[in-house]
Amino acid sequence: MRIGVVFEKGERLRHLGHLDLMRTMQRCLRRSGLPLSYSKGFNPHILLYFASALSVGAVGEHEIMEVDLDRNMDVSQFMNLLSVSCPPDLRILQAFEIREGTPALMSLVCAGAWRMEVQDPVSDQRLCGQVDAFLAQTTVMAMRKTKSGEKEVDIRPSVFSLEYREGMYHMVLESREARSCKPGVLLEAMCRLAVMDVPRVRLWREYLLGERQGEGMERLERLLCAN
Amino acid sequence: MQMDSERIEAMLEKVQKAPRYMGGEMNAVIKPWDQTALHYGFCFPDTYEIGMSHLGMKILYGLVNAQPDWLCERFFMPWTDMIALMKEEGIPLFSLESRKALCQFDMIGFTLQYEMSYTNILAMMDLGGVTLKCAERKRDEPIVVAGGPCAFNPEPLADFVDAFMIGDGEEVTLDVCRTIQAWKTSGQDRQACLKALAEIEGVYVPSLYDVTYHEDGTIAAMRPNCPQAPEKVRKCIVTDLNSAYYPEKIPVPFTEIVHDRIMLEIMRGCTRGCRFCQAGILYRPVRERSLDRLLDLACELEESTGYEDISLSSLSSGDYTCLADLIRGLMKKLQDRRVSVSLPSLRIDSVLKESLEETQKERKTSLTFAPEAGTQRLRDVINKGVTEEDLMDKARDAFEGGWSSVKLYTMIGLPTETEEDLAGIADLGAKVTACYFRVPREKRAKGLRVVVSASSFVPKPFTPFQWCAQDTQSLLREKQEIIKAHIRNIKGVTFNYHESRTSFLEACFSRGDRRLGSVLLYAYQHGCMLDSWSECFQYDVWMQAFEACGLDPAFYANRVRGRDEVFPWDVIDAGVTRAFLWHEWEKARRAEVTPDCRQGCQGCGIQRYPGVCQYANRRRV
Repeated sequence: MRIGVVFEKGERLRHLGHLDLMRTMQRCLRRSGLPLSYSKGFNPHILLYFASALSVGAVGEHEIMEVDLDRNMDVSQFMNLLSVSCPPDLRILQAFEIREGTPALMSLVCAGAWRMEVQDPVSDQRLCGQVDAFLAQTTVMAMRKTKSGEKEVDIRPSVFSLEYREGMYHMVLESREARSCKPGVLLEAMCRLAVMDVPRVRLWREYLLGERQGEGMERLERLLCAN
Repeated sequence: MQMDSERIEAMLEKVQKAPRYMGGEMNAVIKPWDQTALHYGFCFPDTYEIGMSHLGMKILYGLVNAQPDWLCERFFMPWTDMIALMKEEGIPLFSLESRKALCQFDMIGFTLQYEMSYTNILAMMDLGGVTLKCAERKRDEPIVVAGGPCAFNPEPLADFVDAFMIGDGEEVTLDVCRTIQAWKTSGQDRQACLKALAEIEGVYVPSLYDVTYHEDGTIAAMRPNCPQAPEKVRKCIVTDLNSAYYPEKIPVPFTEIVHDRIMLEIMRGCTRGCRFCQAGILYRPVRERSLDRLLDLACELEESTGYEDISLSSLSSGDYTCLADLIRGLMKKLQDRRVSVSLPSLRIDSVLKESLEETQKERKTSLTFAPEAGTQRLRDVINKGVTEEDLMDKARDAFEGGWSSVKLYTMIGLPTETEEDLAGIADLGAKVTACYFRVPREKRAKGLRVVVSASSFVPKPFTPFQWCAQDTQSLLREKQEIIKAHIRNIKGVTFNYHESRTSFLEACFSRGDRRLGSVLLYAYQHGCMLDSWSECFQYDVWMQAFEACGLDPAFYANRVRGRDEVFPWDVIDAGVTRAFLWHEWEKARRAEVTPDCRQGCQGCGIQRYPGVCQYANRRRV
């Protein structure tokens, strides 16, 4: 049975990297006593898949992962068992069945909705004035780190929306294997436009967006539930 | 002092490895500060990754927090980048749980695992707003206590630590906490508290003793200066490990630490009597946890942590009476949960072939053997009751069982060592390699790797070698070169050795006296800390510190001590008598071995504690 889980990587865990988060989640799952499925092979590991890695420094408000079980069980019972096995800053928000045949979560993700706060007011003032200028560009070249090194790409098409509202930058950024724009890359590009140093920021990923062929973007958990 | 959590968060954005300072781990204990009567800050004087790997910390953290009325929170040594930021921001060293400053606690306790962590103690107190010197601390500052193996020679830290707990901490910790809690509300001065602490068995309060010296720098006498302080402080012994506290929940770090697994202490103490081994004396007598208790604990811990690994911990796990049953039992109980069991510090003469086969079902890692010395003569001197034949048998078993990676631990600078002994170390490497090639190709695993490592011997208090001189650094380096030259021609064998300068300082502090407090303070004030990290170790500053304080490090490290010299640690009764140790030293010089206690009581002195040693006064069978 495939189970989708929506969880929160809380404020106190913002500095936790993806590998540490995975290890922590594996231990939470082991503690829960759930009938977990393991991989075959010499060093079996829990079948656990994150929809999208979240970078160090960011809070994740609705992160999504898939857990595979050896047998069917009630999802609310699953949720209870896992919830009590997690540390306080890792909260399980929702669990649902993922129908057999659903593609891997990673392949469904197409974007992330983010919130960013610039720490110091002076930089914030300068940067927020750049939002419209940025959106007016048709191409914005930036360095993207890939497995094979850095390459220059146009990030403008990957910025689906960008808005400054009540002291926060709200943005929806593309997040696919082939093309993506991380908030840090966008921030650097905006700063380059504004000719200013990159300020310290706080980041929250609010939720993930998924896409089914031919249909529009939708919150990933809704897309999975409806499936 | 109210800690500003926002400012801490801002610092964490700038440091390396922020999870070290985050707290909030699974099973970390959060208690209401205002509703607890005693606040204990448990300090491990090294980084989070090291400290969180330490079993003693987990026991004492769990123990104090198990008392409803008390609170215990953790402190570790921050890394240099964090220290710089904390100083810049004016943020004191804070606890991982409620982020309170060190100086806000009623008592703070340091665990002393190795001498090279001593400057970290000063650094942590300094960062935490605690006055470094006991004599200058104010009434409302924490009472500073310390325990652990290095507390058996507490004197180098006498200026900085109010009271030392000697021996097993499970019981004495509670007595010390109770005393401090009572004093806290009594309105009496610090001196009253220290005197009350000195009356607890197993507690040593250095300020209650006066030391006089001979002209040659050796100690003339060490005497109590008040009636509360005993002539000798007897170490604490937990008689029954089954009823002793052991945590069923331990904090599970978010980030990887050195020993990232469940540690199951199967027994305490060792009956072997290796003459270089301080732990073997300090933790006497041998006490085992029962099979049932261990199986229960293993299950509880596995369920509460989610760890995928469990390791058996003790000085000599192969000597555990029902080792095979234990391993079989653990496998049976934990197999479904895919937990692997590993056996550290295996003594090569006690590895059961059967248990080797059982552990390998899960995973094959490198096997470690500790012959310690290169020839039988020298192994007899140090009473390491292992023969070359044993080693080769076990190596063959391991290779046949599918291992291909072996580590050989040895020491250089042991008393009576000759060039032959050094060549013997290389020779062992060669023989183990040959052993591998004798196993038919289709039966052995590929990729032979033999690592021979040689550490420099540090004579320790309460061992038969406590009278010995440590080899000078130049001699140790010469010896390293000799082994290197011998090993160069052996294919498949790598040679590792430790920096002799660190061993030299260890030798100074392990047998040092309270005058070294000034050296420690000078070194810290001139930038020494995190000395066990090679990138931070500043040997030259240490040498300057000795010079500035008018003390000669060679006096502590490289001097042969007289039979009747008064030692700084004579004030401690570690259970084993000085007469026994001297007798052992004489036998060592004759390369005469002493049998294991299980073959008959050797009269080490622990028999004076009634009912604690199962082998006491038992005749040879």
